[in-house]
Formats: sequence, structure tokens, C-alpha cells
Amino acid sequence: MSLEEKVVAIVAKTAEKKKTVTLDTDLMRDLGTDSLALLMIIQALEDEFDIAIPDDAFKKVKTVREIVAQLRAHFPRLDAAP
Amino acid sequence: MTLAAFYDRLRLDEGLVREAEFNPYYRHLQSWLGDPVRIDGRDFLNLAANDYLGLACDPRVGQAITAGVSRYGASLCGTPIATGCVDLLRALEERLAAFVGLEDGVVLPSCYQANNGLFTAVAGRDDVILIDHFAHSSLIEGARAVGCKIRPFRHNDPGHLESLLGKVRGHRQAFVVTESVFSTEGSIAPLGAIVELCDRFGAVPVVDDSHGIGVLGANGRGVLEHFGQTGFPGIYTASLGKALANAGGLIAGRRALIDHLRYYCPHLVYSTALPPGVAAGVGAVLDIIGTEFPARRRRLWEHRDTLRQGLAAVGFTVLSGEAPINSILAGTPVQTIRLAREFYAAGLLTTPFVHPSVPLNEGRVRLIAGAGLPPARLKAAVEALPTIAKAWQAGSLVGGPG
Ligand SMILES: Cc1ncc(COP(=O)(O)O)c(C=O)c1O
Repeated sequence: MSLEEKVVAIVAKTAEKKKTVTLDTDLMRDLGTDSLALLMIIQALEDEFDIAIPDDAFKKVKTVREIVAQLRAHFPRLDAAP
Repeated sequence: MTLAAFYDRLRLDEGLVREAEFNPYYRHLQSWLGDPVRIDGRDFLNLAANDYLGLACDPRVGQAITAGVSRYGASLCGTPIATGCVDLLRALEERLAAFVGLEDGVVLPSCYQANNGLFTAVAGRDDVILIDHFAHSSLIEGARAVGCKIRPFRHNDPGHLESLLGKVRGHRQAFVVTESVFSTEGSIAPLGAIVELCDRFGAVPVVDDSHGIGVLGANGRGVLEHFGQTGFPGIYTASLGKALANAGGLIAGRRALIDHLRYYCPHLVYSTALPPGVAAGVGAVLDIIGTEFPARRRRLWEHRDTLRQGLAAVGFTVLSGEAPINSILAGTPVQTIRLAREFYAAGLLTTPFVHPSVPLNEGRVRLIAGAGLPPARLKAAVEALPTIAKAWQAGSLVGGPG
């Protein structure tokens, strides 16, 4: 599974409603992601990748694609993970 | 930063109100909640207040409040730790705790304050708080104030909670926080499963029963009675301003917890105590519940079903909650406020919820038909529903998706 696929799966799994999630899914507009929902996503990513995401890393993310980009920026070695 | 910039930053965005051509918030009531409610010089049917049992205007409650004021005055002008803890208030705390089936209790001036102050008094930075994603703002803000790790779990999803309880580690104590009845949709938390998980993982359950006390359970004793939770090991909170038709916030649980709060909960220790008149009013409501609950409950549920059938018949999507609440899914914020406007035009007072109280495009309009509403008036309201639905749908088409 690519990093993209893993992130898409995590976002879908934490969402309150079953919705199709893609890289272009807008968190706020399409999923209604509020601050607690974003926290849920961040913590699920931390659990999945065994990382500690800095507090403000995801402050400005709007889409799933931007989550992937932020993850890559902070944790360049994630792509190598199995 | 200049002062002008400061006040500029506070300016409200009026776009939504302008587009929906209605502001449903802070309407000025010119009457009590008894039917009809008067606003803007017009008569309304109250489908908005949380007066589930119809006791807010009951003369027996009013008389008890008057008697309380005659004996103790308007206020003790002191915090409970000083002059505020009159015998009447202390007796009410014990009575409320026994009512919900717990050892002891403490009453604060509001449940917002109770929820807000509870966590800093019992938790610390090295604890973890797992909280239902849709928990009330007072619980979220109270939990955040601790500065410990917060782990939200998916709404009413014990499976997700279980997986998180299995993952968190390195903390001193875990707390699991939920409401009993989620009032924007009327869903009820699976408290039995949550308590079982807490037991298995050594976590402390915390439940806010604001919309369950006086409503759920065979005798109106709330969520613990509803789920047959006789030895609830955790922390229970509830507002006294909904079915109990007064004001105040109860925290109940084991005696050790309550004794601790009396000295370590600043929201209690440093805030003027609940006025004695209000304590007397809550006592009168408990008396009435003791004798009239079955009849009042029957009317409450009948009203809910009448309204629900009427709403469904005209094509509204009503969230299928198990509580005596009807919540219509209305869509975007503009669509939601417009629906509330159509109800208002028809003389029906409702409560719209828009983001951030609910997810962005899942705005809803809530209707609570309390036991005190005259059935004939409710019937007339149901007869007005086709017109309301038609006007709203036409407006939505003209206005686009909003
Ligand atoms: C679930 C819930 N908890 C707490 C509160 C706050 O209670 P109070 O009005 O007593 O401050 C409310 C609403 O008022 C509520 O709906």
C-alpha cells in the first residue's frame, strides 16, 4: 500500500459517515471535519506509523492530499515503510 | 495591535443571516413558556425549549420557589464553601444523588460550569481523556483545560473506543466521556457497553445526563435507570435546567469524589452558590416527578410520535433518535436557518443547529414537544407542516443549494 492509500483509508475510517474518500476530498467541505475529527485523524496516523506529529503540522491542511504532503515533509522516511 | 483592530476582529459575520433573511438566535421572549409563547407581539407554539415534562410554569414549582425566597432570601451572596450552602441546597444535593442512584452529589450554578470544572479537579496532565466526538462543548472545553492527551472516539461507537483504550499507554488514569442523550439528534449512548469497557480497561466513565434526567428510565431517574446501571462506578453530571425545569448543574458519584470536589473544584468553590429559591424549585419538580411521571412521560412520547409522523409525511428527513426529540436534517447552514424561518412564520418556535454545533452540511432543526403542550395545538401544528415544507422546498430551489 502506498502512503497515499494508507492515508485515504485512515481518513475514511475515522469519518462519522461512510463516504468515498479520495486524495482530493476536502476535509471540511466533504467530511465536515471539525477540530476533534482532525485530532482523530492525526492520532490514527500516529498510531499507524508510530510517529509523533507536531502540534501545528496539520493546522492549515484542507485536503487529504495536503495531509500526505505534510506527512512527507515531516517524516521523509514514511514512504520506505512496508 | 490597535484597539480598532481588536474590535474589528470581533465583528460578526452576518452573511448567513443576510442570506437566510432571518436570525433565529436571541429572540426576545415576552412571556413564560406556557402556551402560547409570545415573541415580537405574536403567539408561538413552543417546540424549542427543553421543558420536557412541562413543569417550568407549573404553579406548584413557582410556589415552592416563592417559599424558598421568603425563607432564605434571593441569594446567600456567598460561595458554597462560605455562606452559600444552605441546608436546603445540601438536602437537594443528597436527594438528587439518591434520585439518580448514586452516593452523593454537589450542585453548581449550571451544568456548563460543572462539566467545565470537573476535569481539572479530578485529572492531571499525565492522564488521558477519551471523549465522544459529538460531546457537548462544556465537556470538550473542560477536558481541554486539563492539558492532558485527548482522544476523541467516533460518535456512539464502542468498537472504536475499545480499539483506542487498547492503544493508549503511559498515562496515569484514563477517563471515558460521553453524553447520555445527544440533543442535536436524539441518539442515546450505549452506556452499558461503555461502562463495561471502562471496567475492563480500568477507566473512569463520565456521563452527562442533561437530556436524560427526568426523561429516561421508568421513573424518570435518567440514563442510569434506563440502562439498569445500579452500581455505576464513575462520574455523573446533569443540568437542572431541562426536564427539571429550573437551573443548576449536578455532579454525582461516590462520596470520595464529591468530598474532593467540595475543596478542589474551583468552579464550585469560587462561585456564588445556586440561589435557594432555585433549589426549592428543583425539590418541587422532584416531588411532582414522584407522582406524575408516568402520565407526563406518556404525553411526551405521544407528542413526539405525532410530530414525527407529521414531519415524515411531508417528506422531511427526521433523524431516527430514540429520545423524545425530533431533528430534521436541513442541509447547509442557509437551508437550515431558512427552515427555521418557515417554522417561525407559521408560529412554531424551533431550534436550528448549524456548523460548528453540527457537521458542515448536516444542519438540523430541532423540535421538542414537551408534555405540557395542549394536544389540540400540536395537532394544528402538524396540519401546518405541508405548507411549511412546501415553502421551504420552493425557497431552496429558488435560492439554489445555499
Ligand atoms: C449535554 C449538555 N450538557 C450541558 C449543558 C449545559 O447545561 P446548563 O444549561 O445547566 O449550563 C447543556 C445545555 O444547556 C447540554 O445540552
